[in-house]
Amino acid sequence: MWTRRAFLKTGSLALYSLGVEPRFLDRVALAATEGPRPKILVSIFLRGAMDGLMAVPPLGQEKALRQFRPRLAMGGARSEADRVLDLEGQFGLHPAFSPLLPYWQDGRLAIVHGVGSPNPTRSHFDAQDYMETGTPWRKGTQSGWLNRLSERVSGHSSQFAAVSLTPELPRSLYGAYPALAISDLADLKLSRLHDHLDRAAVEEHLELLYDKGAGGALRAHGSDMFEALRVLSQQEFKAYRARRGSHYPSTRLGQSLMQIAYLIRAGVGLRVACAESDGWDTHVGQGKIGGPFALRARDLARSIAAFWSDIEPFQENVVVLTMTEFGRTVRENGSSGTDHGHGSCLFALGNQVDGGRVYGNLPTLDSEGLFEGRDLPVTTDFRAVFSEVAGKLFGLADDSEIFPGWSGPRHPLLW
Amino acid sequence: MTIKQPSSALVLLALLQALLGTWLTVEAARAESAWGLQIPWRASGLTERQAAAHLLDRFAYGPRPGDIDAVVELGIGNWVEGQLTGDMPGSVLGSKLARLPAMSLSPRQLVWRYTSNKGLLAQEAIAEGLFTLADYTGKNGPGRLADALAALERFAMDRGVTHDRELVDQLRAQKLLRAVHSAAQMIEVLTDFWFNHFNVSATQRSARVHMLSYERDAIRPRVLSTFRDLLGATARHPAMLLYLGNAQSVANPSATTTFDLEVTELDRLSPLDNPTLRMRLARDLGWYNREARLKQSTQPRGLNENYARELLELHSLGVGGGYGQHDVIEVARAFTGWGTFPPGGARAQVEKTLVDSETAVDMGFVIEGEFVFRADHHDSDEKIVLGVPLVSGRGIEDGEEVLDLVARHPATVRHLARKLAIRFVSEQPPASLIQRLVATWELTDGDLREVVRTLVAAPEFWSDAARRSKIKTPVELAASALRALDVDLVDATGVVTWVQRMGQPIYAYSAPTGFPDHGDSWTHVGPLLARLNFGRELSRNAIPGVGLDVMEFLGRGTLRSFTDATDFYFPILMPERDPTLTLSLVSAGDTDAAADGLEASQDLSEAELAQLTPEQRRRIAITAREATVRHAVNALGMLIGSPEFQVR
Repeated sequence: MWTRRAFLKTGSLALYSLGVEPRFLDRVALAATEGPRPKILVSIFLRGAMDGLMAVPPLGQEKALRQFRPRLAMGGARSEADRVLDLEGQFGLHPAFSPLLPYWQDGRLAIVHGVGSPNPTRSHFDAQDYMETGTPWRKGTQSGWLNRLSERVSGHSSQFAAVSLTPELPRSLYGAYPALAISDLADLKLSRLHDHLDRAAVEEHLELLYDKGAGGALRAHGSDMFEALRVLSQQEFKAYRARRGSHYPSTRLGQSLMQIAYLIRAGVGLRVACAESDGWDTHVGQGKIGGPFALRARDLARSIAAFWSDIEPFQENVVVLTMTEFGRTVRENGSSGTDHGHGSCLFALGNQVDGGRVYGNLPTLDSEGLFEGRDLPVTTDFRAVFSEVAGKLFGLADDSEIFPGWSGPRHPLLW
Repeated sequence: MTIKQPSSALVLLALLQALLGTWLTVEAARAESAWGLQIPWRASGLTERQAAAHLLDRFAYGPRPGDIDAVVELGIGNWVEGQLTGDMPGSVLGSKLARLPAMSLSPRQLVWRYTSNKGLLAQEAIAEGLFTLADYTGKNGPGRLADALAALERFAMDRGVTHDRELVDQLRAQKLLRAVHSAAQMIEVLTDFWFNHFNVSATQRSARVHMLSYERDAIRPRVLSTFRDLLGATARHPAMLLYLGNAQSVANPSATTTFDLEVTELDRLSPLDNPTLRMRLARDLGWYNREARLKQSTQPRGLNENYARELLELHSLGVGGGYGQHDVIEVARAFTGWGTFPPGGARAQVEKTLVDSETAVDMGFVIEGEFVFRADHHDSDEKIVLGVPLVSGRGIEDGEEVLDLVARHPATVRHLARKLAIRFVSEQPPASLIQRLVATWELTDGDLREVVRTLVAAPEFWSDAARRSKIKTPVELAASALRALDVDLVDATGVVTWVQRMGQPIYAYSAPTGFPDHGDSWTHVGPLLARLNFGRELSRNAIPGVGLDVMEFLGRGTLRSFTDATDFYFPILMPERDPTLTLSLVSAGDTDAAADGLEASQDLSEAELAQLTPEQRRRIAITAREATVRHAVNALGMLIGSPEFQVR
């Protein structure tokens, strides 16, 4: 009998009803048709330092490449076995990135070569730290650049304005702005209690306690949290399917981007999203067409391609930006891999991106042209690119708000 | 003992010390405490039990059942003194820590045992002559490569090499075990504070293996020592030196190193001997030729300012503490050479050359445990730090003098007084409290035991504004729940996972600022939801390693409704707190509380019950028991997630 009562009570819950929010499909329709849509930056950190020289090798320097990396040099654009894709003359693209080629061809994908930090550290930890705080010489910066950006562009408009699909907050989102770190949106719910029939009743009590029995931060955050639980309906999320023709890899990155696509399509107020891919620290057996590098590259390209087609109605408003802490040595090491270097390259995808081009240039591959005789030099400060993308996308004038101490020019990349 | 102006306090202190010696001030403080520390809890209108509960919320990880009785019986001042002097009853902690093998290893054994870097291990195997580099890199053919890999495997196995992630797991586990079970609660709370103040992070791979020793050997033994002592221990510890890169900081090529100086001096004294000595050192040390080393770019290249900057900005003076970039560079120069042994195969040679070597001592090298001062890396030219000249021609003394300078700097005292007040009293600490702390600090030259006494003896600590004003960190939330429920924590892994989910990456907060001490920054959507879920998982005993029996407190009693259960568990979780608001909200939300819960048959009279068959009675009893458990789990889960339990 108590069960029936509890059930009846659940049915009549006012505080916890879902009725106030438009259902997912309605919201998608709304979000896809209604007036100015919010701009969204999707940041993908490639942890471990991607070998920019293997990702986007210069064409016409095959001989030098073969000398530096006899076991890793690809065969140039006309080779049979391990041919790179031809990016119109000057550069090639590792074939594992082929899912991205169409976007290059229609001018929405840009590559910036020679990107990196002015701080030449070769420590993953330090370099990631500097890139994520946006202050290449200061370790003590409290907040990350994406946190400052979120604060600047979204105020406190949504509980889902800044989301990282990672179990812990990345350094780039450390800071005062309340960013959400969650490795799987399916976990965004109150876990089950002793008896599911009591669940709603207990949830109702909790919401009441946070609303009427708490003050200050706890009350505000409590209200945000219950709101978030309503906005992101687990039922809807479970029922979510990617658009036809959009095939996400079942990898961590693929699943993260799929969930970001869900948040975009659900119109929940996302402005800054973070995903990560790791394993780029290819010291051993880096491989050419196969091997750890190609595996990650293919995962990255397939994930981005699936994501991009999934958010088709929103492409106008989204820019995807990849980044990595540094590049790798031009010379291969004793174990058929590469060691920590300096400059690398990054990808930017978006309708607003002035793409179909490789920006930046590579030096002649000889010990004169290389940084400290061994690495690709950094010719573009990462802040010049990040501030361009964030600044143009969100219409910001003052880059030093996001990158304290930085007054350099933006690197042209967006329309 | 009263000092009005902090600025005159320094002068006065110097006079006092010169005339009477520090002895006097410390003795004066002791004499005062012998009478029982004067603790003004009564003035805030608290009962002694409420005062004990507040004290345990701040200088312990919350009360266990019976703790409040014990503090009241002992007297509040005596409890504090007991915690401050290590005079407290034993606990079950020892046997629990004994199950973590890393806890009893020396710093050197830890380095030896835990690594995730196969390359470094291979270097060591090569240094021991097990195979050659050419074998290992396959230059001598696949046969030799396979042999080398097999030899490496055996080498690792014989030594018991374990992935350094396991070391971090043990480090995390011991933190929770101590928080829940240690009798020396104040030491644990202070260790948490000071570790976070001098934060290092396992995300920095090379620091990882040193972190257990960092907390155990550098911090915990000094949380009641002087600030200078604690600061010095962190400055010399490899965890800090690697985390902030000072171990890679080398004198600029134009500078004269301490080693250069000593060699020149020898040249002058006995020019004939010197070429031999020079050559021998060059050979033995292997790193003598700085010029050559600088050209190899994988080796250290010049100054690394990170430690110097954070020392000034975070560890001592604080932001706006009156230093400039010039000071950062000068401090970095003063700390050149402060490092540790190189990892991997190079270590053996360095140890052989430097440890117990009189020549090394003569040349200005200092070896102390895992700390290595490299005279050949140290810039011995003159520096000017905060306006104070450090004379040229010295070695390790430069860094020590910088630590002396910053430890006693008025900006440091204000910075630390404020930080302690925020942690232990309120996020908006009253100026009067900070003044008290500054006065004690200056009078006792940063005696941290005296500073804690001042905190507890401050009326601000007991004020209405301070009590229940701090949001618990995830560690505090988890530990206080387990303590209140008298949990015997067998394996901490499950709880550690929850602490991380609640947003506190213990030992892996990568910024040197440490985990922020503002509740606002760790209770937003994700972490708050995790807190609520932690309560729910704990109450239904679904966290591995935690054996919680919700019925333990109830004996054979029954709970007739959710409201009943909330009533029952509130004082268990939050003794001496006012339950009125929480309970009124719960019963308001639970309108048909009286009927919700047990079957109406529970309300049968004796006469009616007598008419039932034994089977019917048994069924009613089972239903009552099931309903009781259900109410208990629901209420506990809700209360642990409730706003009142989030604060301390």
